[in-house]
Amino acid sequence: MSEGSAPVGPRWQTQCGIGIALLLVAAALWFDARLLPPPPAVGVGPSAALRLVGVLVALLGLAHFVSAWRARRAGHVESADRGNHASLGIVLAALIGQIALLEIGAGFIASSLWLFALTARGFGERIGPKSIAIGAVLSVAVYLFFTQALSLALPAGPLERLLG
Amino acid sequence: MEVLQSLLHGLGVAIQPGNLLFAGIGVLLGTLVGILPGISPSLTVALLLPVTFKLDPTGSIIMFAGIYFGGMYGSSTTAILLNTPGEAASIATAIEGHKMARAGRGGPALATAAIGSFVAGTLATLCLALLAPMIVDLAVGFGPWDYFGLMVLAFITVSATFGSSVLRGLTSLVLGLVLGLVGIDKLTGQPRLAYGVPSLMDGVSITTLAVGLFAMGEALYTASRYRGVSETIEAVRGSLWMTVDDWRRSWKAWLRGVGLGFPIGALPAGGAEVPTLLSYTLERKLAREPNRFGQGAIEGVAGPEAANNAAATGTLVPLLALGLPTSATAAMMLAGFQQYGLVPGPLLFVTNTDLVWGLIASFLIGNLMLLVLNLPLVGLWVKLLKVPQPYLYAGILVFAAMGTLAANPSTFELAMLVAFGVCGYLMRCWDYPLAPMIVGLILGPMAESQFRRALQISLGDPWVFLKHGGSATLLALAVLALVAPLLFKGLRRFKGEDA
Repeated sequence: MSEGSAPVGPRWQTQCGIGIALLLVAAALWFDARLLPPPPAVGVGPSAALRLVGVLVALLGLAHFVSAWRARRAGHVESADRGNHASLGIVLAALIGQIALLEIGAGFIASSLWLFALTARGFGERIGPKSIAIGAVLSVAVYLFFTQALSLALPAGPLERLLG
Repeated sequence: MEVLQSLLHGLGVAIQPGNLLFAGIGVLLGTLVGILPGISPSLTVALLLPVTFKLDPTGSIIMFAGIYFGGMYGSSTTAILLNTPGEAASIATAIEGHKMARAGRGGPALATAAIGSFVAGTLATLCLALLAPMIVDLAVGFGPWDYFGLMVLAFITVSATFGSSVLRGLTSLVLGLVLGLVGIDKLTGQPRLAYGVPSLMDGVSITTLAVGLFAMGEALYTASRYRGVSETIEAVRGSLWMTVDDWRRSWKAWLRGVGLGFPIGALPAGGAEVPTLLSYTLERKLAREPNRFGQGAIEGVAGPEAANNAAATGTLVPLLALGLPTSATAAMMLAGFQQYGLVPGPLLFVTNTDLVWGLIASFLIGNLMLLVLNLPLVGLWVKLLKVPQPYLYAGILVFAAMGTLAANPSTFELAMLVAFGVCGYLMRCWDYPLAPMIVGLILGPMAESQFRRALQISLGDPWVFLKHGGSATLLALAVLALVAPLLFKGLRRFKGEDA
């Protein structure tokens, strides 16, 4: 939500960073377009959209630099709200840990339990019998519902093989 | 009278027990997610897509529509009792509604919101039933150039016209377009931006993007703002019933809300928050006792609530008649159609009459269900607000991961989900809108194929888009919609900054 006429949005340094990222995306699009075969005799081929969107991305990247320059002149500083990095880190660790657990074959239930308990920790709930019990019931219920009622496959590990 | 016949036929489809059940599940789920912070209707539809894959298309799509309307109802409850609007479209409701609740008039506030939504939903559905066939007749004559022009117009209105920043809106849109390019080109079979990764060959799934941006992004954002304090819920005190005076002050506001909401929703103007804020401003200007505003004026709840439901219904006009989604939820509903191989648009009205009119008629039934369910059950809904936040968000993340894994059981897909989540988090931090990205991903490939078809028909003449009256007008409107907010900063006031 913006307040009145005060400039909102990211700081000028961030805007420059976004501008650079957009230029890199544009470069990737143009590079990919060069790898495609030439367009057919009539109409345009698959590379045209890559080039067109590439130009748009580059233009927006440049516009971010202009906007950053303006924000800097206006002396815009981000509000003092620094956020809670510890909580954010824990939730991110929960998500990345889940992927890692699935990758080593721990299965859906174990990885979901990890995700649940750690996310709850990120929101201030201590990891204890309560959060682990709720997480376990939820993961097992979801797993059984998907595999038994909907016959959709979820990644299986040692626990899932026990459930059959 | 043809419309009336179709509508009656649709009612016949909608009151089949199975479809009634789906409508009921939809509105209940919708109310639930509307009340719970952090879960939007579009996210719910996204999470349900893999689950409904094997169900009957008519029933599932009726359920999705129910979720959409239910979400609009539910979020007004949170706005009034908690002062935290569940959706952006309820911001205006929160202004006066919460004041009313604190003054012990929470009952009438909830009642005017619910009845106003019912009136608006019903009227808007009738407008939809009248308008959609007309647009279909018009759209039958559309060439690929016209469709391309229409999509460009939708891109601009969704991303640039009504947002707080044209630059950030367009950036979000174009990032969606980039994601839409990933995968095998449908016309030539050439892979683009896939870098040899098999999971990328099929393109970026809309479900993964939506769940990542909305669910993961929201959870990460809330975590980063976590302060360890919970909000206070205002208890519903006093009578639930509206007094004669309340009715007298509400009914005109409802009708004005419909008058603002439906056209803005039906035009590809995107989102329901614009008409709600407009309606709030209008009611305040028209009020006989303007000083009541700010202290809990019932008009300030009645108007915006009617406007938001009318706009939600209005959004379905371009979706059903043209296949053009103009909001995140409409985009998810389009994805819902697509998973059954159905393409909304003129053809669907001919090939799937049952589905289209059954769906439209189900809006009437869904709105009635919401009215009957919401008022008596309000106490129950309020209890839901007491679900502890840690478990709520932990549960959301587990469901998000589950939905993605069920659709495509690969850790790569999950990693993409988390990457989109981080992206959504950053976009929230830096005030980039999310909906344009979803619309870009879903409409981008469609716009590209219309573009290429047009050029094939015209034998490569790039002026084809300007030679046809329809597409030239639409493209001119798009340019206007892009330039207008830059020239005319007064449009910002529509965002309700003066509230």
